Amino acid sequence: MAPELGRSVRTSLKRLEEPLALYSVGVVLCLVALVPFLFLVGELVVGGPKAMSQSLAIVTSFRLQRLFLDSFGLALAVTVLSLLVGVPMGVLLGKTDVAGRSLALLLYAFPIFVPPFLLALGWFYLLGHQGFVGNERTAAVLFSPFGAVAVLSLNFAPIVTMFVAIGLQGIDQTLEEAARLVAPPWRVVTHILLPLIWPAVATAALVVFALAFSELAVPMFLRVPNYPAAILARLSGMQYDPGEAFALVLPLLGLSLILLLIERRFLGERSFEVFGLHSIEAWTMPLKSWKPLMSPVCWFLALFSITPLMALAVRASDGGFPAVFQWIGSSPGYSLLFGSISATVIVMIGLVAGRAVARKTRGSRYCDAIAVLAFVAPASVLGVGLIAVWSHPATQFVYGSMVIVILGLIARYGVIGIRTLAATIAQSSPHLEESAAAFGAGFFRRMTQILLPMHWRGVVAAWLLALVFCLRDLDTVILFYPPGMETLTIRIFTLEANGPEAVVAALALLHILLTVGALGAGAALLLRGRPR
Amino acid sequence: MSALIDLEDIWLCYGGRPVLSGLTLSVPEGEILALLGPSGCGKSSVLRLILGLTAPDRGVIRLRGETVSEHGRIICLPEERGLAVVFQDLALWPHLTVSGNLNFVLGSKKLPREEKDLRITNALRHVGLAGMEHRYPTALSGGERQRVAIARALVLDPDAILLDEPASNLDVILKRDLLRMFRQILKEREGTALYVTHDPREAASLGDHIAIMEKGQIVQVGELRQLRALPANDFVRALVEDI
Amino acid sequence: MQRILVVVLLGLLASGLLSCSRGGAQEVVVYTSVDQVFSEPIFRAFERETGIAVRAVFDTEETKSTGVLNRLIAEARSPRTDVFWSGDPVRPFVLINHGLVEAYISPSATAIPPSFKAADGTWTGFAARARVLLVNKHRVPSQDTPRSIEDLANPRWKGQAAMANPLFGTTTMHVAALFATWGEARAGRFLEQVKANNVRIASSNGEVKRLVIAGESAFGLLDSDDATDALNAGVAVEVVYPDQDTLGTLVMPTAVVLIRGGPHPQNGRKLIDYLLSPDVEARMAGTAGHMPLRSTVPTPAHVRPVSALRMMPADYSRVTSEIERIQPWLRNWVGL
Repeated sequence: MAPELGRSVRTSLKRLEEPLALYSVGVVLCLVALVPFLFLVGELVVGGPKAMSQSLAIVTSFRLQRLFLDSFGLALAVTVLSLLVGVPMGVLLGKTDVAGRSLALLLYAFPIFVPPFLLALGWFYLLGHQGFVGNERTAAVLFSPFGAVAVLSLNFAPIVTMFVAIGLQGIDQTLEEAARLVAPPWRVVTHILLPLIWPAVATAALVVFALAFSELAVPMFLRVPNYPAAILARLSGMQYDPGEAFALVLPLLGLSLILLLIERRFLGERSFEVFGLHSIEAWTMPLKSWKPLMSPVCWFLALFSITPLMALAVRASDGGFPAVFQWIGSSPGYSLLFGSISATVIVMIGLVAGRAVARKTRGSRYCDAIAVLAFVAPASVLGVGLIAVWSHPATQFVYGSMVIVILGLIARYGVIGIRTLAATIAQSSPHLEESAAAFGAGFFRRMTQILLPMHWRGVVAAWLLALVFCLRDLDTVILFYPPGMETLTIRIFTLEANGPEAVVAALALLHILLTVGALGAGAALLLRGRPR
Repeated sequence: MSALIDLEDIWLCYGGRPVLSGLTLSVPEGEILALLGPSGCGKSSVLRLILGLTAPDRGVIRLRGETVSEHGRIICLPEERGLAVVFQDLALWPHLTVSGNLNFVLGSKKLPREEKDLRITNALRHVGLAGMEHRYPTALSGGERQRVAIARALVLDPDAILLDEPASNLDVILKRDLLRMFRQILKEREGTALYVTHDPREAASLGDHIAIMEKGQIVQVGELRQLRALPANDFVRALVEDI
Repeated sequence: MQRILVVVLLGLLASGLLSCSRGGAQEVVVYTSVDQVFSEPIFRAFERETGIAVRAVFDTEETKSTGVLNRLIAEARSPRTDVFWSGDPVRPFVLINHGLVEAYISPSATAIPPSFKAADGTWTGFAARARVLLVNKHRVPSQDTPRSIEDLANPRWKGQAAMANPLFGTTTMHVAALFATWGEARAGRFLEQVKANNVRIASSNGEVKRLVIAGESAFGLLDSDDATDALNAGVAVEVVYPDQDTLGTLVMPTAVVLIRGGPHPQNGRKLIDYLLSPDVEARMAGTAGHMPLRSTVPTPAHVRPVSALRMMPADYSRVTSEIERIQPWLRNWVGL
């Protein structure tokens, strides 16, 4: 009787492994991303019908609608420009024999590691009225919507490039080879390869659009009106009104849902395909007579994109580096600590939810949708919601510790883990898991002994990507980091207010070095992986 | 002879399209049943239903007399059914060596290490791959990978082995050798197998009985000579007349 | 090699953990909107003198985040800080109105004039700043130097002036003080004229400073510590204390409050005592160009003493109410 009961219990528990894992991930995402928004809905409702109708009147006012459209236009322009630059660069640096392309790709990707405002500051040092190469005309161009679009596009285009380059690496060789037999390289790229990685490009576009729309500091610095500023005005002004701020977020969430629906409708089955990290020797497309032209173009763009960083370096060299250690405190340690832990949890969530998305398991789309909405919503709103949820005497063990920072970063960047790993896992045949299941392996065993080892390079890449986003984060962490535990980005921005410019510039460069160092170790790990 | 696997009045739709329409099939214990039909007739779906990877919209599936799936529900999970499978694409885990692939399968059984090693060695010897334990699937030829997949199925000593066109990508000679080896192995262990194929010759060479499938239904089941002598319809006749 | 690289990555994590080692059990938590470059050295000095570790949350420029004030309000259910050191005197009133402040009359505050502190000890001001005009001497001939904030609306300077966004920071306080002093009609008219004069609305006082130094703007309205920083950078700028013959210059003391329900109230009081000491006020004058409120604390040569200044009359409590009242109007003005 007892052994029978034991076996029955074990069987029951084993059956629950997969649904429990997905529900757990769903609960975590709801807790960190959805519940904060619900609390803000509560703030709106508590204000009473008068406050709600007032908020509604503001949201639907011409002034704010105009602002929303302006921000939408800015984000759209940034996305289009990022795609126009990022996709060809992804092909050139990821697929062709451009001279020194690995180094060029690394330099070109540098802006991703840096909060956009620092780049804008670098451009100001360069092109401002009294910048290194600036004059009245360059200043006028910089401080304009065109300038905002250009600065943000230069910051975000490398994201598109990375997605394209990685996507091209993941394409099945036989598909490529079949095309090469009958078409010249450029046709293979335009008619076969790019359409195959279109879902990855679409994901990159979604990420860029979300980042561009919610970007606050750069448009404000360049004096371009933007909708997130209207939201911040309800949270950082002297009239703290999180309910009304949330009301202003609603159109943004609505827009995100529409984008998600469009993505699902038109990409459909292909949402996450062709974006693996296969280590097989990929075909390098020879540029032949185009190489003498394309190589300098790529290098020009790569160097151009790091020009503002060089401007920061010049500024930092003016006494910034010696003084930097006086101001740095423990902030690099906290950056690495929060970033590493958050990236690890993001990847764990991404493995379960991403696999579910790739295999189209019931409930997976809700996890993905919640993660996308949390990514698109302004960090200040999400942060205020998190404070409302967790700042209670009973939950001080969370709010008073670094756990709240981890939760905030998971909420904000969970989508990175889910989407990246969904795309990676979709590359492999479901038969690999199904045969393991047929042979008696339960869910956790399949995950840890089949899926994880098979896709370890994709997992490491997802971890590194999540780490980059966590390290560069300011808007999320600054709202509730435990006193005395500021990250390097927070320290850069708190010192920026009247701090020595050279020191601020030096800290910014240190931040880049920190990110590159962590990425370099991880990338070397990836490159050492043996093809299977 | 009692049936190890029973499918009773199975209906299945994918995306609104009917795949199986009232299919009924029994796989007798200790027999090799070849499931023969053209591409797209639903053969692989039958396999997935028996394995528990898909639930039937209607109908009942039994293993060893016990209901394991019925009417939209999977009662017994794939990992609980004690079956083995060889997929068409073999599904060998690329990050594991040959012995690693077999060892993983044995992980679900609580066996001492020595016994596991012995089983692995025997299984590989049985398929003619002795000494290949430490090689990775990518370093093997197509025929060798097929054998590894079969060894992986055998090492578990399952109640039944299900094969989904495992020889479809092999040349004639390799296919012949594989089928011969497989039949010999199955007969030695007196095991039950369901062999899915679109090739009448394969079905004839391997199956004790042949179940012919068309448009989601079993049209006729019988030995080859019976099918030749009394084909149920023109489709059956066309399939078996050239064997 | 893979193992080595994994070890390196784990080492990065471990170094993060090690470098984040916390101090001893004695600590105090302070949120401050006084610029970190000025406030942090003072906290470090307090730590050295008392052995009490200071865990601080500093503020960014106003448009980068919700600000420490609103963080305090958001955390009201379970306060995490002991002391709030505000860069201006109106933020404490917001906290007082929310019931988040505990009265504390510090013995260090005895010599501070009554107009710069609450009689009941809810807030105490010291080390003040002024709202000044920073003028680029290359762009503005000395005879044309603007002397009044009303020059922001002067057509002579169309498109050449700058001010920070009045929804945030000390500019909010300044605008509210104008509303309180001039009345709604005149103040509203003035701001409309400023808008029509194409005054550049910068995201912060720091940015106004940058614009004036860079010559992007001929002059700008900002805080005196920003102006002192520009002077210290050796650039050709002039600091003007506006309206000395008429309205007067707005003076804003920094202010400290003790937070009700904070985790370390005793240490909070000690920190307040330290911050309100003449020594700290002297240091803020020397490094940040703040104006000491005590007559006994010497004022550096480059800082105008409070006694030599015609101050704009300002009831800080009324200014706070005015700020809250005009927020919707200001948002409309700014276009948010």
